[in-house]
Parts: sequence; C-alpha cells; structure tokens
Amino acid sequence: MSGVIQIEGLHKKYRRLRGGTTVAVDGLDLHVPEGGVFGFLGPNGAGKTTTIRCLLGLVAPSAGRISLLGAEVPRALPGVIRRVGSIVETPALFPRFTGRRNLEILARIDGIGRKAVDDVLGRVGLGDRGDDPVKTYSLGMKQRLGIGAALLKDPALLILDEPANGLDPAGIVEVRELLRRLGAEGRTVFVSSHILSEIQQTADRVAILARGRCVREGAVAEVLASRGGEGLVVRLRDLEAGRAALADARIASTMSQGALRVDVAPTDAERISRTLADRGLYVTELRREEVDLETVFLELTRDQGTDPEPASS
Amino acid sequence: MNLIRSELLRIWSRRMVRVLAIVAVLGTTAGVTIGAIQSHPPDLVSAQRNYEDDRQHCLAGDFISEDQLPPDVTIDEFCDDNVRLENYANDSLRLSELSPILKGTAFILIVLGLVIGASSVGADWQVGTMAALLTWEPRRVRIFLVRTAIVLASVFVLAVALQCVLALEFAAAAAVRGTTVGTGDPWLRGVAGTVLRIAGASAFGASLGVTLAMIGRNTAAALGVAFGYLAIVESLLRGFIPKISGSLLSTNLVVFVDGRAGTSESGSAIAVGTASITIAIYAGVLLLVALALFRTRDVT
Repeated sequence: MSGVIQIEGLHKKYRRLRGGTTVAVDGLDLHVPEGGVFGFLGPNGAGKTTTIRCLLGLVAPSAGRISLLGAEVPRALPGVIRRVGSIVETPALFPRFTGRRNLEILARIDGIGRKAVDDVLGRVGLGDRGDDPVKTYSLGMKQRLGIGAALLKDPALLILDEPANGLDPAGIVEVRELLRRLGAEGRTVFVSSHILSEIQQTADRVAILARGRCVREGAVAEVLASRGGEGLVVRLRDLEAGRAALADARIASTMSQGALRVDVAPTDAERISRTLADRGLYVTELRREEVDLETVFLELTRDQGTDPEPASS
Repeated sequence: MNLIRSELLRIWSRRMVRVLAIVAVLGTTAGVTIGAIQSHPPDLVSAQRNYEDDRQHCLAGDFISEDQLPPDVTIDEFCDDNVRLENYANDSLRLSELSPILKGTAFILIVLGLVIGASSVGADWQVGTMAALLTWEPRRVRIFLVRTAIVLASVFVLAVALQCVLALEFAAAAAVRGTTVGTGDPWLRGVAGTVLRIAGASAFGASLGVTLAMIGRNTAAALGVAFGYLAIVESLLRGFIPKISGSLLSTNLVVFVDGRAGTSESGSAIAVGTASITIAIYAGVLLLVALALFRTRDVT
C-alpha cells in the first residue's frame, strides 16, 4: 500500500437494534497522495464520516484494509497518530472549560507546551478569547478551536470532517485560505465537505462517494471534464419559440432555470445566434455553460438514488 | 506520563469536583460549628468522680458477672472497654468520638466518589470528547487504565483531605468547647484506619461510577444503575434470599467502613478482610467488563 491514505475494499456494516444491518461503507477504494488538499464529497449517508472514523480507529471496519501514513489501521495507528490532526463531525470540546484549557488537555498528551497552544489560538483567530469558556463561543469559534486542536500536533496529515460548518462567510474564506496554505506547505489535507464551491476552490483532488462507494476520484479538472458535453446557455424572451427554432435547425436544447441549454461547442455560438435571429428571436444572454463540481456531484449522486446534501452555502 | 498529566489537568479542571469539595467543606464547617455552639465544656472533676465510682462497681461485678463475660475477656478488660472517662462528659464534644463521626460521613463520601467517577467518564461520552481523545491516544486500554487510576486516586486524596478538614475542625471545637480526653496513640491509629478505609470506600464508589459510565456511556445512566442496584436490587435480594446477604456489596461495604467484623442477615460472620476481598472482586469484575467493552465497541 502506498499513499498517505490508502483504502482497499472497505466495508462497514452496523447492526440495527431491531435486526438486520445497515451498510455504511460498501467496498470503498481510495488513494490519497501526499501533499495538497483532497476533497471527500458525498450526500448524507454516503459513508463519509464512517470512513473517517475507520481511518482514525474509532470504528472497526467489517472488512477491508486501511493504511494511514504507511501504517496499517488500527494495528499500527499509535505509531503515526502524532502526525495526524483531525476533526470528526463537530469539534468535541468541554463547554465549561476555556478554549485554552481544552487545548492544553490535548496538548499534554503529546507533551506539547503552552507556547504552541498560544500560537495555535492566535493562528485560528482566538488569541483574545482563549480564556473564555467554550460555552460562550459561537459555532464558528468552536469550529475554529477544533481546527486549532487539529493543528496542535503540527501534523503531516489533517483529516477534517466538514470544517466550514457553522462558519460565517468571512470564516469560510479564512478556512479556505488556511487549508490552501496547509496544503501548499506540503501537508496532506483530507477534507470532507458539502460546500462544493469551497472544495472546488480549495482542493487539488476529489473523491465523490455515494452509497458507500467511490463513484469518481481524481484531480478536480479531470472530474469536471469527465462530465463531458460542452454547451451554451441561451436566454431569450420566448423560450418555447426558441427551442422550436433550434429544433427545426436540428440543434438539441433543453430548458432549465429560465434558459435554454444547447449541446453544442462554444464555438457554435454564432450559428445559434443567427438561427434564432432568422426567426425574429433575439438573445438576451448567450454564454458558455460553466460546469462546476456541484453539477457533477448532483448528477453522480442522483444516479445513485440518494438525496444529495445542500449543495452550497 | 504525558497522558497522566493530561488526565490530572482534566479532572482537577472540572468545576464539579471543586464545587463538591467546597460544598463538603462548608457542610462540615457548619456541622462542627453547630455542634460547638451546643456543646458545653465538661465538668471534669465530677466526670472523673463518676467514672471512678462506676469503674469500681464494674470491677466488683455489679455490671456483669464473671460467668457472663465473653470468652478470653477478663473483668479488667471488659471494664476498660466499657467504662471510659470520656463517656462521662455527656453534653460535650468529645474528640474521642471522631471515628464514629467520620463513619457517619462515609455514605456521603462514597456517593461523592460515585458521582465524580461517573461524570468523569460520562461527560466525555456525552460531549463527544472521548472520540477526540482517541484521535490523540488510540490505545484504549491505556486510556481506560490511566483514566480509572487518576479518578480513583483523586477521589481517594479528596476523601482523605475532606476527612482531615473535618477532623481538624472537630479537634479545634472539642479543644475549646468540649474535651479531648481519651485520645492517645491507639485512638489516633483507629482514626487513621477509619480515614483510610472510608477513602478506600470512596475510591470504590468512584470505580463503580467510572465502570458503569464507561459501559453505559452516560453519567445519569451510571448513577441510576448504581443507586437502583444498591437501593432496590440488594434490598430485595436481602429480603428474599437472606443467605446471600453476606455476599452483597452494601453489606460488605458497611463491614469494611466500620472496620470490625459484622454479621449478615443469615447470621454468618463477615471479617473485615473478607469484606475487602469481596469489594475488590466486585470492582475487578466491573472493571474487566468495562475495559472489554471499551476496547471493542465502535466510537460513533
């Protein structure tokens, strides 16, 4: 096995109280190379958090092999855990303790000193609130403190489950820049998120999970290109008439969100414009269709028959 | 060692531990103060006279005849045990009575240990910090053993400290408003033994709390099970199957705290050593079950 994270044939089944089983992860294969930001996407119930729990030894896989920084999980996990920082779901913090005390308790496990705690508090923008009880923090501040806890070990690998949850727009931008910076430093950042625009702007590679399986994996550009079929978006006053005019010219189109989507190369824009104008239909907007991760994600996960999570913030 | 330092910081940062300790000190101070106010310094001259009169009567066999004495007990020994100078200062705080007073606090200290033990683990599960802890130290056996040892040691130290506070306050009150008669070395050894046994019983209460909270992953569930078992299940067992009462936890705890051999409902004698072993077996079995479950169950 090679790669910072290597998963082969991971299965995880949970037994239900009333009998039967729930398959959370169903034969997942995943390879996360060293360095950069790796986005881990999937609808609710796709198995993202279960996979992360398996990676961190919190949950025992039903079958399959996991390797983290070259160490087999869970057997050899203690040997590499000092190089792995993580947040699983929401950051777990003692609400009555101060932010600083929460970090100090964790820091002591690895013999990390107070200076590192101070540095991390400053790095996540909590330098002046570190001595306040966590129960007085906003959700975004708790999230930042959780990221701070993950950074305390100065880790080679960061595993972050929805790190932008609860953050305001400014906080989201901060986290995005932080993740980029960490990835650029040579660390590997494995981040699950449902904020697809963020992942598109942050990640170098992504994997899309549906029903416990990886349905697409690769560099972001490759995943976007995999959708295929470039097109144009056309807006005009009478969409039905426009669609009919294009159909007469044997140009296929579909109506979507108050516009026509035409399956032609962007270089055919002039032909589309002329065809419509010949019928007295004048375009109010004509542009190249932008394929984003959200579109790919929705199409891939819709095919799997699951309801995707909210697609963007 | 780092994990021990982290666990120490965690338990002593807990507000509940500090609040319980402060409440216990305040309660102790209030109790001793009331006792001191109600106490009157004894008339030692008349107490001495009455004591000597009664001792003469006792030695003369007026209190018990020779044939009624327990085996291997002489009339002198009987009178030494039962006719004591300190007992003639009736309305006074008597420092010699410290051991029974400490024993009276045992139930509270055991409950204190139970609550601290249960919450020290239950809070981690409820807040979700157990998962966070495991992402720093994945060796669950190590976490469990260190956590248990730190909680038990902390409760033991806390119980000793609280009893020392009570003892010092009581000694001061007895010196000013009561009597310190009858407090020689044997008394001091007896008090020390009582303090250590009660602290041990508190630590057992903490182990009960830790293990039940680790099994149930919840503080309230752990406390509910502990109280339900001790108050209801053991009462029913004692009532319906008296012959097993000697093996029940509460019976053995009473004997252990008292420091003297006792008898069960079925009449069988229970030595302090036997009670200690029985309690240790209860604690050991629960610890093993909790450890096995913690080691193997998913943390979700």
